Amino acid sequence: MTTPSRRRLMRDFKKLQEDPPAGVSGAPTEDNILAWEAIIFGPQETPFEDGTFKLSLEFTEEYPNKPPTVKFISKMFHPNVYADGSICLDILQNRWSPTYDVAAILTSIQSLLDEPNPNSPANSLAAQLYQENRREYEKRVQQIVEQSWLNFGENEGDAVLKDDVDAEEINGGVDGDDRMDGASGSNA
Amino acid sequence: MLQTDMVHGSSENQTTSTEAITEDEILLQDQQLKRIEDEQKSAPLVGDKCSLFSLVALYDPDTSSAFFSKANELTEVYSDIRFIRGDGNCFYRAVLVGLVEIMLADKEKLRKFITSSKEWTEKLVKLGFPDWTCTDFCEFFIEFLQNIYDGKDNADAVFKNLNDDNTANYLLMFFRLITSGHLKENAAHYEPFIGEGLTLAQYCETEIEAMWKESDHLAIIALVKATNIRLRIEYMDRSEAPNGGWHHNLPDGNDDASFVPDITLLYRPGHYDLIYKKPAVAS
Repeated sequence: MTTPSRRRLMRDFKKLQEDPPAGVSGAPTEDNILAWEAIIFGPQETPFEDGTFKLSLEFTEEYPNKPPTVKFISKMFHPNVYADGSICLDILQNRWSPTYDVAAILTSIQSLLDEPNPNSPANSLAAQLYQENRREYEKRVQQIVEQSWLNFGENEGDAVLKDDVDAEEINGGVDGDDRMDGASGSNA
Repeated sequence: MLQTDMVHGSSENQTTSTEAITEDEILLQDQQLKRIEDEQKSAPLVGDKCSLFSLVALYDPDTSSAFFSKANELTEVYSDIRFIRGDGNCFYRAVLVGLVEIMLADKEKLRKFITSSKEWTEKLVKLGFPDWTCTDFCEFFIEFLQNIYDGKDNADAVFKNLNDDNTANYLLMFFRLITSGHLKENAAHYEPFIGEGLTLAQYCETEIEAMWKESDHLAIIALVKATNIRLRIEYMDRSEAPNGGWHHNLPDGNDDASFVPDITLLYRPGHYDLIYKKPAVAS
């Protein structure tokens, strides 16, 4: 008997293929059923529209009793996403239920994009702009939407470059357009 | 073991209630939780059946005289104990193990339980549980029972599964789901007992369906009803028993004279273990 987690992940995968929710897709990596990659399309009529955001999902043998670790691989600018791509979302932490599957996780993250929770900011600048300067917030979001197209396809295996961007952002903070532009420039 | 159970509970609450905590604090909390989890995992999920005197030995006659004398008193009626890991799942796990033991010894009861588990699968879907994921827990549980029924798994194999974290917790989730299912099916009856402005659905989601959340009285009643068992809970601390006595029979309203429990649990503050009656002596 295969382990419950692997069995369940195969079922989750089958369901995603047979009955895919709108705007999300995901699949295990070639050699490891516990490591998935997923894509979330930015919901229409939101600043994230047209973005194609890549994510990684790392499961353990304790799935689905414990949630996977989910991170954005694509650069993200969102009040509830940390600089390293980790997501602050209740259902991935204290409100996780073993009755959720991969489709539920991805659609929840998709709705989080346009429904941020500014009360638990993971990116304080994004949270501040979201509340106080929506125009600037949307401008920043537009930047990462455009970047998501560049990352997509071209940046396969370009983790080193991406790490540089993240490190720079963490060290320098995100307090200047120049820095941001510089970072995205080097990434493209 | 008892202490870790309680610490686990309180840190869980902390995570849910604090807002705007820094990354360092989250990291520290994660480390603490990891340490507690490692400590819990050093004990088996389901211990071997052993003499009840091993319970007596846990208490010092001078510093814990009340528990020491109660443990001694229990040895007059009960002979054995099976310690269950204190990870917040102990009530569900103790009932699961108790039921599996009954079914290993009684094929007819096993057959009936397979039937009722299949009925539960349909009922859960009708009650609005997510079809896809809930059915998987049910099917896994039914397959586990069917393997016993078909003679594919003997008692050794069964207990190996019950002691494998991932398999055992997947089986245990079925019990959480039917507990929640029973509450939702009888929502009008149970709703008044749910406090703190929670709806029954919210209560089920956060307290019952979430792994590692300790059971309260409502969860106990619901699982007893959902599995149709007769359960006795013996209390180490009299003040904890709902009727002020030393034990409590479930379903409620069963007096001691006619009540023959299928499963007996021992409750020590915050924790449940399985205990077994001495074989009847012919007089």
